[in-house]
Amino acid sequence: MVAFNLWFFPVAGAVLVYLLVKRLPRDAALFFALSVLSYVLWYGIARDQPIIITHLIEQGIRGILALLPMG
Amino acid sequence: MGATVIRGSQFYFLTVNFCIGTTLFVLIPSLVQAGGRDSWLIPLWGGACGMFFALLWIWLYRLYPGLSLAQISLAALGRPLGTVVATLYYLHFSVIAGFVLRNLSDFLTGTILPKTPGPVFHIMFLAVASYAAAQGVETIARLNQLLTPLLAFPFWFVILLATVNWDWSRFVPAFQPETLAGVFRFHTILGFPFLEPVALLMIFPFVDGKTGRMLMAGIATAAASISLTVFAIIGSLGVERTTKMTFPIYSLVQEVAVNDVIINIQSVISIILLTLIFIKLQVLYYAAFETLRQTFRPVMRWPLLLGVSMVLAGIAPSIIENGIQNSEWRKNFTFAHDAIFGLGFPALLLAVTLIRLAAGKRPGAGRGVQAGAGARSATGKGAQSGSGMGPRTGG
Repeated sequence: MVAFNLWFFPVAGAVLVYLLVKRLPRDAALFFALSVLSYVLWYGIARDQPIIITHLIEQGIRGILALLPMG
Repeated sequence: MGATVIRGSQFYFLTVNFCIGTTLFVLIPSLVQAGGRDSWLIPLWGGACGMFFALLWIWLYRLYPGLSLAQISLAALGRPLGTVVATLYYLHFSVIAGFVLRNLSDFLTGTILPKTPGPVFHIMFLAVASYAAAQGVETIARLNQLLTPLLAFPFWFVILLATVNWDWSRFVPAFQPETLAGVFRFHTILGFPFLEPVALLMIFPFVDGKTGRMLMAGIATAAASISLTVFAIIGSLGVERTTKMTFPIYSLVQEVAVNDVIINIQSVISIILLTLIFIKLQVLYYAAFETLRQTFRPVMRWPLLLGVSMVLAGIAPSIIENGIQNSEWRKNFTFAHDAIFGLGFPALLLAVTLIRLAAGKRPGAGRGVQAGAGARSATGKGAQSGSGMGPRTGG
């Protein structure tokens, strides 16, 4: 976990700081959003308990089907 | 219209290889399990439905000539809603790309390189895919055109060699009502692979004419190729053996040995399949990257490429739990999931556009006008986000 944080934050942080220094707020916001998403995914992988994305989609589809009259 | 950078024939080959992509790897055992001796019919009816779905995409594109799927979302629904739909498409393309990467690493760790961790393959393939995406769609199309003959001829030659154990009796009795029922119940084929080419709508604006015809021809060719491959596998291995194998096409070729001269030709098929998968990954990567770029219009490209790669590298190990869960997912949810993005959203965009046309409004007028941002930068050079062509909508 420490190793994961040690490589993730310098990489993502350096790019984010670079974009902010260059005064590119839109680029920085987009990169920040992608970094947060990847951090969440990689955090699970690093803990050996990955978030199974198909389970999430499965729940979403079941939810949509439940809303439909035939569901 | 966007700059014409790829020819119709290049787009045709891209469609064929995109549809075949991971299908030969992943789908064959469950396909044969569902359709038994007649399972070679499944890709044919799936392909026919795929061509029908493609008509919807072509219709949508004709209402917005020169715009990609992300730009169409913005033009049809306006910026707030269009951004939501485009972001959902980005996630969809990323999820399919995650599946592709995972299938790839599962194959490599299961056959050739069992001790290498999956993320190593993911990162290596993503590095090349991001480089190709940065170079633009023209590079991807040309690379694909160059590789296609090198893939097709050895592939069919190897399959032909593998038919030494052919037995026609493996197909009888054919066309029994119960197996035919299984053939037409197998709806997974509609989602994967025939609803996935919606990603190719991101490339539509860069094709030199005949886009729709080439898309249809590509889907038909891919369906015929998959059907022929399944036919060869059933004739050579039989239904029983095929359903018990993880990668039947690899096992089929593994058994071929001609006079101790031509041996280990499974390495040929491995390279071919890896290249096919890589082509699919490249297209999906490009689609995901361009969706974000055209929607949010960042000035610099490399941070976006890095961000997209980091997310995809995280999605691949997280996409499925294991092979069993993957096959359950395919059986129950693949069609529903792909239908939302392959049919649902395009139908929504089409309905909104037709309503606006009926109301006498030019679709896209005054909404999402910046949608065309940088679409001309198909070559990947000199991207001027936010200053690309204005959308010419209204068909």
